[in-house]
Amino acid sequence: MKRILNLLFLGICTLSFAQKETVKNVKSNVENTISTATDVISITKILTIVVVIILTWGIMKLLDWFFKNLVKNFNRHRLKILRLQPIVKILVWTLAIYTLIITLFNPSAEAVYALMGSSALALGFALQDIVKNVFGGLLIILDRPFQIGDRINIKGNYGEVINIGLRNTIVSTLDDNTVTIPNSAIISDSISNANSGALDCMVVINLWLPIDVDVTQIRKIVEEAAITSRYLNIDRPVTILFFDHFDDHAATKVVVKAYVLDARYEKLFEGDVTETSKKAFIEANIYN
Amino acid sequence: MSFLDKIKSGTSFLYKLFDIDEKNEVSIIKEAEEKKVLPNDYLERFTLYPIQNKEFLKNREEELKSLELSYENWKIANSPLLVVNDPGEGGTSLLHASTYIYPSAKILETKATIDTYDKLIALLSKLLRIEDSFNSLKELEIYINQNLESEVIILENIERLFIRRVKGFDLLEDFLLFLHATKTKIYWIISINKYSFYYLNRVKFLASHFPSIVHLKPISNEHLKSEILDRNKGYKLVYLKPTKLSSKVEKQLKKISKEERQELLEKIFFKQLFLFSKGNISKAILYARNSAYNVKEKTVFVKPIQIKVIDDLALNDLFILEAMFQHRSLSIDELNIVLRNSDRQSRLSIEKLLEKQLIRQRASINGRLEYRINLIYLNLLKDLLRERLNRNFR
Repeated sequence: MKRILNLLFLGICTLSFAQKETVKNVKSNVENTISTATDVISITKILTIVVVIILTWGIMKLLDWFFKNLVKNFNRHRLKILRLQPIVKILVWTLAIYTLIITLFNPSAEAVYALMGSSALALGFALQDIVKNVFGGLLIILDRPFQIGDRINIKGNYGEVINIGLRNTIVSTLDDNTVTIPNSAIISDSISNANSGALDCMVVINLWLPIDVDVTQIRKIVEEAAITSRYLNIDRPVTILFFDHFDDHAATKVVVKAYVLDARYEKLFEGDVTETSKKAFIEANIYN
Repeated sequence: MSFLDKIKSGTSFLYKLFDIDEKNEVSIIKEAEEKKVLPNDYLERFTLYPIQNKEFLKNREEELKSLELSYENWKIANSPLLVVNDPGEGGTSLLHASTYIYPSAKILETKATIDTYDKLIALLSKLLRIEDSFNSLKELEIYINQNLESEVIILENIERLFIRRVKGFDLLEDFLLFLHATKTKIYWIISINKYSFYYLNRVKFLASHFPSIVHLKPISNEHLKSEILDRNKGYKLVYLKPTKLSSKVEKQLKKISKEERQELLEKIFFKQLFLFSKGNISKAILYARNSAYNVKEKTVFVKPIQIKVIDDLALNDLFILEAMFQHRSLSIDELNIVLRNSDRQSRLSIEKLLEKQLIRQRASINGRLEYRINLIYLNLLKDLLRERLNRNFR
């Protein structure tokens, strides 16, 4: 009986000691984890993240306001100003992301290289499309096939580029629709640019007339309709071309090529010249 | 440009950059209320009129020399002359005063629009004292070449011969043909305003018709000052402190004696006058007239005026102003034709521009109202058109 009691006591003591050790281990583990977590997520770090995000957002808003005013007050240099906008914005974003990484992880050079290598592989698979778009955006900014304010035609969407972002480009069409095109699609497609950074752009106006018209008379009317338009850029030449068409009905196609003073008034210019020409044609009995 | 001017223009640029309004208008209204009504005999001294005599013409020696040379050239090569000038720059004075070169010159001032062939033929026949009647410019041309000897015609404001519409250039183009056909018999001196020249040269290559072109140069600051002092002869000028002054100048004014103070204020007044007029004599006279604050017996108190900043103008208003620049002046009907606007639309815009004092109205010879650019805002509006309408006009 005594032996049994001794064994039981020994057992309880061993168990109690083992439990004590386990509790000690668990306690030390928890303490370690908490200490590591406090190292990674401190109040200072959280505050820094919040401040950086708020500051970046504020700078972005301030930049929008600043560029908007610049465009308003220096209209003649509108396109040059807008050209700077995406570059400055990307720089601000880059700076913000850099600050966050440094604040949160403070990585060593080796860690950065290792991270770059592994993340390149991971990103290559996981974020393939996004990376394509981001690099597309960077290529658009560096290669400059078009700028904000240019009138481009891409994938059948013709309109004014209103924003070049990191992932996509936004075009406002003549019907006032906003088309968002991924940058990766833009760099792999052909783009036609009507003004290439200039404020004015060429407008091609087609007029259809009977086949037997007096071209000298028509040339005079159409040329004067163009040169008297308020929207004409008078510093650029006006060209008038004639073509005969025999498809369904025989007709003379008159093509007027002239520059509008500001690409934004492209359709107003086209409408003005067409309307004036038509009125003059009716007055001169061209259609009869 | 002095350091102070650089600071001022820098401040103005910063205002523009950050879209801050420069509040000048309030001070003008306040001053206008305080300002005394000036006596007529003083104001008459500032009437704008063309000078007829070479002796009174200031700082135009170079231009007169060009006119003399061009006349000699015509005798050999029969080339007509074009004189390009800004409103108020003294183009009419130059042409009138140049008649000492060709005393028998006949001057045709086109104060109203010449929009028909009949009007032009009647004017030219009257000018040349031809009693026969003509149905076309061709008939007049034949008559001139057969019957006239050597004549000199000064035709002012050729821009009145066209209107910006389809078929609106026919008269001008036919007149140019007439001019070329009669240039052996007539020495043609034509004048045109700068903006019309810019437009017609771009769309109709006007300059190519004139081997000799004289561009009027800005009058020097010394001559502008002497002109203003001449107009104030008999009066003692007392210069008042401008509404806006830098604190540095304010401090300087407090430190110096009364005489030195007047000298400094005179310097400030003329500096602002030169800056405003940019060599345009009529603008300088207008500035001096508007700066006369009060007249007491034979003393004039002069306080430099502040020119108000032009508010944002609608695109249509800018097109109206441009049309006025191109034609020198336009009636409502002409404006409707030029801009393809409705009558109501044009009237509303005109009222707006009149209220802002950017344009002035006056009755033409035939009694209809015509509108033209207010000389005070000439350069400001030109800059605005250049900026907003992408015009490469200098």
